[in-house]
Amino acid sequence: MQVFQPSATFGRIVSSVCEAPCEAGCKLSELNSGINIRRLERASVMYGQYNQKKRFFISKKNKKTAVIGEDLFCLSAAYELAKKGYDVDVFSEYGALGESLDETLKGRVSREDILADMDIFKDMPVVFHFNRAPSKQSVEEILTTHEAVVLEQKIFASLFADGEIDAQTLQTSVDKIFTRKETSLPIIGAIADGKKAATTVDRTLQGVSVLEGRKNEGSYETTLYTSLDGVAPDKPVVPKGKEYTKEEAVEETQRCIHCECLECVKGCAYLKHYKSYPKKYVREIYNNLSIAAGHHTANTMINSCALCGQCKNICPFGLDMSMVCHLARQTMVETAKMPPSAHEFALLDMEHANGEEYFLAKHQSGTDKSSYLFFPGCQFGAIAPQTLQAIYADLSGRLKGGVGLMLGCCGIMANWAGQEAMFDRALQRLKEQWEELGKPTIVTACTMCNSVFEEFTEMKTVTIWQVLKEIGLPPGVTATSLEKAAIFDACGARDDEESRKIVRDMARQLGYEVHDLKYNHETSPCCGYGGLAAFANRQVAREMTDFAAGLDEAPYLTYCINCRDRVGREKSANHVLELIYGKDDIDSPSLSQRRYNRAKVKKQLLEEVWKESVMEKQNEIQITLHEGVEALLDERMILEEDIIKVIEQAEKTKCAILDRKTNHLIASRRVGNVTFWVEYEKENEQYRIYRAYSHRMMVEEA
Amino acid sequence: MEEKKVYESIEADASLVCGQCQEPLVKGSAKFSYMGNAFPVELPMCPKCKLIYVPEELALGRVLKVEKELEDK
Repeated sequence: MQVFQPSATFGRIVSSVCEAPCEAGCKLSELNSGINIRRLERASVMYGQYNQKKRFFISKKNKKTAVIGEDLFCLSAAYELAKKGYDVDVFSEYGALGESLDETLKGRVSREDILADMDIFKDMPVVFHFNRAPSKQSVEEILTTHEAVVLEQKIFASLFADGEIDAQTLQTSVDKIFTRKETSLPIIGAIADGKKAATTVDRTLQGVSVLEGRKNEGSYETTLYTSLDGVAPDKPVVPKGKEYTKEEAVEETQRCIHCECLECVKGCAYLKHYKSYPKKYVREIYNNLSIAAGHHTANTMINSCALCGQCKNICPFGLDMSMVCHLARQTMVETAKMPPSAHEFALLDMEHANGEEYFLAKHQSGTDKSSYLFFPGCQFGAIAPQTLQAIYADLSGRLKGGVGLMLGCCGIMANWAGQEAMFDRALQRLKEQWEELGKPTIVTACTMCNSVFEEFTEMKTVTIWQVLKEIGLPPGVTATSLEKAAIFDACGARDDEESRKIVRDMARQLGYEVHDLKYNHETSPCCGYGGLAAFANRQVAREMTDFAAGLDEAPYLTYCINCRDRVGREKSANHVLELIYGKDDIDSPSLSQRRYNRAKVKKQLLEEVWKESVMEKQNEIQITLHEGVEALLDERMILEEDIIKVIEQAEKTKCAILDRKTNHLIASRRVGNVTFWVEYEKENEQYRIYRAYSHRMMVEEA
Repeated sequence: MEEKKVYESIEADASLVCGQCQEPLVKGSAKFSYMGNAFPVELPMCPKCKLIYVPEELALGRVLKVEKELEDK
């Protein structure tokens, strides 16, 4: 009743005789039969509480309008005009209010219901004049005393036989007169037209545009997409009597599927996490960017999106939350409103990948030119260094014209962080190195690197998948597995149909019986690494990983090393290149091991392939992590090298706190923008680490 | 004299001593600062060399919360 009463002007009449065109529009009618809305409205009238509408304030217009006739169109127009503040005179040829309706609705609506519906005119500025048969003369007289006249359609037709009616506005060719055209909906159509006529009268008398903004007036087809997946066809409840009993009505309402789209939310743990939907998120983000001072409550939400573009591909209208969040991040960086802690670790990791411990750009050993340049990406070297070396050995052995090697980051980390200038600098450096090497064709092992180079540079790329398709699998690699596996598609391959296809073919070649996940190809969810979500909001990133890993019971085959790393922590997962080239001993390294791996793979390649001697960085401080500390460090994004820096300083300055209960030392050191605290104990020549934590605030003696 | 407002006051654990001075830590006046804001606090410190201790619960609790609030301002 709370829903129905405010929206239906003559609720008792409508619920009895409405033609109910809405029922055919009900989504369930696509399966079997729509919700019996008319009967439910009747039930709400019969069993609900009908409250007398109270109006607190109507702004008076001090203009007189008239309605001639007393059908539903005229009564609706009179009511709506009165609501808008006009004085309304209703001229009726009948002797009392409701008589006309009683005659036309006889046997279909009770007299009591009709009279009860007429109560809405109580306390409204509407004066009824009965026994006033309409004539051309009386209409002309009324026109002299009223500024607008709404005429019953049949009266208009009899008095103005040649008169024309505009169906959109209900204006007529006779000045100041408004009426409707007959439609197939004499009940609900008439009431809606009454409202429409009142709007046109109001706009005409106010001197504003009659047509502006009326596109969706009355009923129109919704753009809301609602999936019927998983909805079983059922039958509407048939009333045992004339109308529903209370119980029957409740049963019928339970058929309602509450039309909503949320298709993108269903496929994305991030969109689910904030318990709302993109329209609201976009508004929150807009507000977050708009406020000059105060708390920016949506910062974390903006920085938690994987920027993977899944939502855009799922949405029937292409709404792209990734683009919204990405633009928001760029704006936050430009306006110095980006929280400093959000992406610092990730950007330092990118700096590491492009720093001396990992970065490398060389022609193939023994050559001075390269037709190809293998670019495995920043995380491949961090997670799968042995696999990387095996791939490079194979490519440089089988591709003609020299295969150079470039180790580094494509810059996507800065792009994800909204740091445009930093992103440009990273790309510029890669481009310069590529030019120095004679502009070879870049062979990418990461779909994200590939998409970055294609979108933002003129560097020519081929994917490793295209290369392996062309030259075939390395000798000796045969189909050994008879396993079933699900392909987990990479977000970097959303626009790369060819790679998605080759990976599937190659997995089959390797003996796998592969199938797709529920969300696949361009609608695959994020593994939790994308968009730096794992750095800005570990909880949401974990939910993304859990969602991704939980889509299928079969082991996964991935073709992105980050997907393999994150999903592989939750279930059996392999990178297709690992199936071909072998897997590293530690397949899910910690944050610190990733850095060691990068440095190690560069050193090994330089020594073994290029025969260069490399000085190994030796730490004077050797640490051992107590049980559970490795996981703790990853959770808190603390590197072993930070810990070593703390202990180095503490041992040198002797500035540490001693806990006499445990005999452990507790020391701190400011490294960059962070103060790290470490609890440790010297054990022979090593240091055993019991815990570590950090804060960004500076602390000093007051 | 008006008492100075402190945002946090942490008692020193009796087992903690300064590794260098061997003095038991005592509660002393310190200051946290971040993004142009400063907060007077009382933290365990060495009475002699003024080495300050920020306990883990404080660093990962109130300090982290205030850091986030200041970053979102």
